[in-house]
Amino acid sequence: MIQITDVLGHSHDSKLSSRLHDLSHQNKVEYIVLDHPNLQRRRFRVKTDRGTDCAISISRETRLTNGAVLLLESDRAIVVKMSKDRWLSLKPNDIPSAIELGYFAGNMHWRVKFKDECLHIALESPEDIYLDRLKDFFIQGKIVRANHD
Amino acid sequence: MRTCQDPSINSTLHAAMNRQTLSNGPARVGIGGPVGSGKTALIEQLIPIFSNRGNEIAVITNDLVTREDAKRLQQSGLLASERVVAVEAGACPHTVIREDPTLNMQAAELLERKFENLEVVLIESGGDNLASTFSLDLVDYWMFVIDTSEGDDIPRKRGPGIVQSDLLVINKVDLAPYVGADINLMVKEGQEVRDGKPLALTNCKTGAGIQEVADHIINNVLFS
Ligand SMILES: Nc1nc2c(ncn2[C@@H]2O[C@H](COP(=O)(O)OP(=O)(O)OP(=O)(O)O)[C@@H](O)[C@H]2O)c(=O)[nH]1
Ligand SMILES: [Mg+2]
Repeated sequence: MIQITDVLGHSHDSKLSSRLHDLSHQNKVEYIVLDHPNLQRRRFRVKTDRGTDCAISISRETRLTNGAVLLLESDRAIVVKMSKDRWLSLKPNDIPSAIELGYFAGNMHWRVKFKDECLHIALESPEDIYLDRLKDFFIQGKIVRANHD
Repeated sequence: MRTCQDPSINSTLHAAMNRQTLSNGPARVGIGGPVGSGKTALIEQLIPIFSNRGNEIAVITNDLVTREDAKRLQQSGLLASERVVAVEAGACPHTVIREDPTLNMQAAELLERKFENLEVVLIESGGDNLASTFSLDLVDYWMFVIDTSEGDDIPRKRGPGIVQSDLLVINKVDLAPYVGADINLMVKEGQEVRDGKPLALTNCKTGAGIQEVADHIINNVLFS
């Protein structure tokens, strides 16, 4: 188990980037892949993509970000990588449906973004859980699925 | 002669090691779940386990408008009464653990300042519905406590508390036969909706299953 109590910096920091670059050529950079919700954690146990067991306990004022460098040694670096958000994209069929969908998503505390006449919901649990909750919207023809991007 | 077999030495050693481990303050652990599912009872069972390991502990309770749970813990004699702090949540218990956890964060900071060797802060949410979840700004790890007498269809109802919690605790296993709840079904459906995250079965009257709950906390946020 490796204990990590500080964020050393960001992978783009000039002080760190050249060493990281060298290590990555030697295949010695390990990643901790976190999704959006888990990026908020300060104290947790996690494995890198190579299986190294890490015990992270950073201060409450610190935040993990995509590219945060947690370890930089001569033969190993550990860097945080944010996994891509998965989105459920919905297109409302008319304005009343759009209002209702927006109200509903807010009520469910879903993380959303608006783009191209669609509501995009960030999936933080399996997709069918969201589809289940939205069943009536689909049955009543108020929304249809759309493509993200 | 005191040897390492002496539990008091072991726990002192352990505490010293933990203090090294626990830089950046104590672990904050959230305990949520519906009204009466056994959150306070679980805390009452967990306290001695941590005390015996030499882990300094404190508790924050969230009641709606009273301090019942805090009083109950203070009077239990399980830990010094100044280690129990009550936050009155007002009408919406989930607000103070998710949307605006400021009051709970202040309570935790107060305890951390007052007890500098504190290693675990347990935060009990006021009893709520299946939708309540903890902000990861407030806690490092959180569990959701349901009980068999609420009905064995609770896991498949897939409330956010059941799906998203780090640990799902199914309590009151002793009552299952009396209410016709199928525990195996609860476990199976719980596992199906939780994407590999663990669940534990407990009886807070006898202490069965509590060590497993403690081990999850120890492993995930105390690291030893
Ligand atoms: N039979 C049985 N009773 C239990 C168990 N755990 C808790 N209880 C009882 O269930 C009742 C509620 O327990 P609490 O610990 O107060 O529940 P709680 O979740 O803290 O309740 P609120 O804070 O009011 O939401 C009490 O009468 C407990 O004695 C259990 O495992 N088995
Ligand atoms: Mg209680």
